Amino acid sequence: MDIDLLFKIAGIGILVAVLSQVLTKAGREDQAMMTTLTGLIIVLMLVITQISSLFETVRTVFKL
Amino acid sequence: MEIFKVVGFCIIATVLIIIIKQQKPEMALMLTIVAAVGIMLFAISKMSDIFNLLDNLASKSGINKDFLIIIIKVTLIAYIVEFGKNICSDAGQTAIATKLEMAGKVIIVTLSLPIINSLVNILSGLV
Repeated sequence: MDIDLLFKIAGIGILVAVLSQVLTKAGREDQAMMTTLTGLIIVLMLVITQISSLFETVRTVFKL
Repeated sequence: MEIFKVVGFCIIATVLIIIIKQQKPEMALMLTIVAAVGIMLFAISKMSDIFNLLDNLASKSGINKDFLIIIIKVTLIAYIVEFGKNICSDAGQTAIATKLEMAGKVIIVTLSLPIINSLVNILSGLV
């Protein structure tokens, strides 16, 4: 239950939201799309490592 | 106690998700997944003592060991399937959620075939 990972992902999300707003206002929709995608990929990597650690814990705890 | 930590964690996660939901719904989904995985990690690390107790009881009372393993597997599959199902339905994909639930049920039934076979053998032995 690491709260700091939650805050890290929330921070990335807010940063990406603000960045894409700024970029769309500046008329560069494609770059806004790119920043959203990169932010999403970074967060997805974090989430995938969390899920794999969950399944690994399940496998080791129950000796399956 | 620990329950305060868990409740605080859930409330903070919900507030963060509400903040992000308007601008970036996909990031909010990522937050729900991370929060759900965190709580499940906490719960499953607690469950290991329960299953150690079950192992001791089973070995003492002479129950067939692989039936106990099947029971543990079925409960684990139920938890994991429910975990995925709720995340999918949270994101609005109820079709995927129901299909996942169906797959979970099929896997559970195929896992419990040996138990059903032994039950049938015992019953036919009685008749």
